[in-house]
Amino acid sequence: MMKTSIEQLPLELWIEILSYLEAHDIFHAFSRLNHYFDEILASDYLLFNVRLDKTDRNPLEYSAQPYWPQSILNRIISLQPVYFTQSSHISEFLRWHSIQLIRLKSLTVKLCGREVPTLSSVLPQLRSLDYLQIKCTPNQQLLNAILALPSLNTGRFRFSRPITSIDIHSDNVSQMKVLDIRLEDTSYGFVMTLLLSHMPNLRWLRMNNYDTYIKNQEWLFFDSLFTLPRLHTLHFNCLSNYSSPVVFQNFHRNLPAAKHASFGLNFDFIHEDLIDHVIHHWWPILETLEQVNLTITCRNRHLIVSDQMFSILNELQNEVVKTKWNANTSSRFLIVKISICKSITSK
Amino acid sequence: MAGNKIKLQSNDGDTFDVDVEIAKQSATIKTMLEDLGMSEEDDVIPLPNVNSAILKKVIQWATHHKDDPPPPEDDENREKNLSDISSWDQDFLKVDQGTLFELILAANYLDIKGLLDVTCKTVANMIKGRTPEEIRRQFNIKNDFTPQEEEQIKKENEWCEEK
Repeated sequence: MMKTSIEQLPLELWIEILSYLEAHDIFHAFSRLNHYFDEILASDYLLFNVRLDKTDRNPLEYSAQPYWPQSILNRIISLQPVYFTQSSHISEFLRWHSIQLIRLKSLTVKLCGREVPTLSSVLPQLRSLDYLQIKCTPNQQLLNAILALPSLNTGRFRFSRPITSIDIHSDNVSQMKVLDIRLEDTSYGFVMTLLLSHMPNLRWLRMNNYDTYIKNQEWLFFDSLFTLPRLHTLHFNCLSNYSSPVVFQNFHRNLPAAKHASFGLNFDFIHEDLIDHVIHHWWPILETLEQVNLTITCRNRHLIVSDQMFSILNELQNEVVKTKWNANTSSRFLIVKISICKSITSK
Repeated sequence: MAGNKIKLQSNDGDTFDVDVEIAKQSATIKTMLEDLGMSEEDDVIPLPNVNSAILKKVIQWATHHKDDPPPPEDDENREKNLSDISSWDQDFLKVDQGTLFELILAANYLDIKGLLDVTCKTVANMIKGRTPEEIRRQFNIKNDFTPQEEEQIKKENEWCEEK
C-alpha cells in the first residue's frame, strides 16, 4: 500500500500545522524547499505569528532597509517579543510597518520610556487589534490611545507608576470586555478611574496591586466615580495597611451586574476592628453575590490573635457560606489567613 | 444510553464495534447519528476515507481520551502552545511518518479536534528549528527549483534571517 507523504496533505492541514510555528521558523525551514511548499507559503490563508528579539541594528539603518515584504506584513496576526520579560525591537518594527499590519489581532510588548510615545502614535493604525498586552510606565497619551482602539477585546497591562499626571477624563470609550491589570505603584486611583470610567462593556476584571499599600480612597469601591454595568466577574488582590468599614460602600453601585468575585486582601496587622469590618460591614455587601471568595492574609512579626476573633468568624457559617481560619508561623512572621466563601448555583 | 455500541466500517471492509460515546468524539459521526437519524443498533457507518489500521488507531486514541473535557476553543489570534503533549499521546504517536500523516487526514475527516491538534503539533515539532536541507532529508522532499529560482527566493526571504 502507498504510504501518505508530506506533500499529500491538503492546504487546510498545512495551515493548521503551520499555525503552531513562528513565522521565522516557518520560513527558515520551508523556503527554498520546492514549488509545492513555496505556493503554501504564498497562500493568503497562511497567517503568521511573529516573535522579535533585541536587535543591534541602528534605527537609522533599519529605516533605510525596510526588508519585510508587504506580502508577509499583511498576514501577521500576532506580534510578541521572544521573551516577554526582555525588551525587543517591536516598537521600532511598529513604527515602520504599522500601516501594513492590517490583520494584526494580538500584540504583546514591553516598552521602555522612549518607546511609549511610539506605541501611542501607532496604536490608532492597528484597527484589527483584539488583544493587547503591555508592560510599561503609562502616560496619558497611551491610555487614551488604548481606550480609542475600536476592536480591542482583551487588555493585559502591567503598569509602573506614571511619571506625568493622569487626567481621568477622556473623549474615548473603549469596547473592551476583559481587563487584567497589575499596578506597581500609586497613582493607582487615577489610572484605574480613567480606564474603568471609559469601559462600559467590561465583563471580566482582574486587578493586582501587591507592590504598594493602597489607602482607603484608592479602593476600587470607595468612590462612585464609574459604573461597570456589565461586569460579572471580579478578581481583586491588594496590599493595604488601612482597614475601614466603608471601603466597599459603593460596590453594588459601581458593579450592579457582578455575580462572581474573589478578593485576596493582604494586611500587615490583625485586630478586633478588622474582624469587625469584615463581619459586619464588608461581608453583608459581598454576600449578595452568587459566588464570592474573600481571603484575608495578615502577616507580621507581632500579630496578636484572640479566640474571640475565631469564634465570631465561625458565626457566619451556614449552608452556602464556609469559613476557614489558619494561623502559621513562617520564618519570623506569624501569618493568619481568613477565608470566607459563598457558592450557590444560579437558577 | 450508556454501553450502546455502533459499527464503524473502514474503507477496506473491516467493521469495528465502538461505544457510542467514544465514537461521538468524532463530530462527523455525531452528526450522522443525530442529524441524519442513523440508528445506533442496526446501521453500519461506512468511513470511506479511513483504512482499517488507521481506524483502529483512531478508536484507540478516542477510547483513551473518552473522559477528557471538551477541548477549549482555539484563540486563532495568538500563537498556539507547541509543548503541551501528554506522555501518553507522545508514545501513541511514535509511528512512521506515513501513519502520522494518515492519522492527521483521518482526524480531519472525522472532525476529532483533540486528535487533529496533537497530530499537527507533533508534525510542527518535527519542523521547528530545522533547515531546508534537514527538512528535505527528513520528509524525502525533492527540490524542483532551478539555482536561479533558489537564489531569488533566498533574496526575498532575507527578512527571516534575523529575528
